[in-house]
Amino acid sequence: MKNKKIVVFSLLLLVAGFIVGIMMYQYSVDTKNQKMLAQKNGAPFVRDHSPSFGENQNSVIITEFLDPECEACSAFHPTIKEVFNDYKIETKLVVRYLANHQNSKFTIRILEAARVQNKYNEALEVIFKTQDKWAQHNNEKPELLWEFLSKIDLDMVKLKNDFNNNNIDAMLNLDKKDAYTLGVRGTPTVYVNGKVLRELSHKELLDLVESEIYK
Amino acid sequence: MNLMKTISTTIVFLCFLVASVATLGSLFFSEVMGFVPCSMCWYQRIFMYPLVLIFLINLLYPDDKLFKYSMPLVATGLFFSIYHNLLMFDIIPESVVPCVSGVPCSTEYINWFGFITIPLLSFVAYFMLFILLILGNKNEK
Repeated sequence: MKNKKIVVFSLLLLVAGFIVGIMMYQYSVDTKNQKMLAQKNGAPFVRDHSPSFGENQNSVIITEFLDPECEACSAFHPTIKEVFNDYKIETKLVVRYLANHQNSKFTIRILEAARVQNKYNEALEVIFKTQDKWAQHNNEKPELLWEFLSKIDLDMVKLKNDFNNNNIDAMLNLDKKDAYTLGVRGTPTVYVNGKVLRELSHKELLDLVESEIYK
Repeated sequence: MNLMKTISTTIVFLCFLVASVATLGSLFFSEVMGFVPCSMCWYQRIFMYPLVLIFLINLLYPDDKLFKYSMPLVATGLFFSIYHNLLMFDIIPESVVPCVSGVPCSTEYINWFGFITIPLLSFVAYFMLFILLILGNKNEK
């Protein structure tokens, strides 16, 4: 009987040690990231080439690593949009790319062409909303996007022209390098002032953003 | 209980600790630190994880068959870990290994003190279990 007590006790101790280990690790990563954010002009969270939105009056930087062809990114988009819209005066939203799918680069080039016309968010909205049509697994038809995008107020001739002429390789490479530095492996990965969003939910994101705004 | 041929409780308890630390450690590397396990690591995990429960059950309800049930798992895991370490030390070339999950099995995620890698930790765990079980089986009461 005494033995069983020792066994149960050591089991609890192991689990407790594991949980403490997780918390210590996460704390050290957050601390390291915040230091990086403060030191190098925001890098690797912010880069000059990245699309960014908001007035950032409270110096709260939301960095989202996304891939237009990623289903989870599409599913999470309304959430991040909603939270950001509530706090666009206080915060800044920076979009970083991780082109992990077959047509990601194609789609990102369209997005960057739409950005020239100041229609980035509108285009992103369309791309995500129609994702189930153009990004079906094993049956991808990214060319459908031209038709979907023609329904919003875009100069399609200019869009195609900008699409054909933009070169986003350097940008994608730097985004990828920064993702690697931060240990980002999937999309969407969201950071708020260097703190990683641990659960992709509305409440978690709102809590994290508000805790940075009102700290 | 003394009438049964059992491996001493202390040894089973040590085995339980080794298997638990190895299991939690590997989960920490993959789930917390975000290292993607390569296929070799998966095979070693497959044979390590059940050992935690096998040793635990044996501690709570001792019987005389532990060696029979645990040794095959330990020996198989040990085999994989030796193979994996030979890969890490470049004794077997990587191209021979059927690695398809995107992470080459010779990827070095950690390197503590210049020689401690994850496959080495796995080998140490399996080797300790192997020795403990053999010792325990020899000295069984």
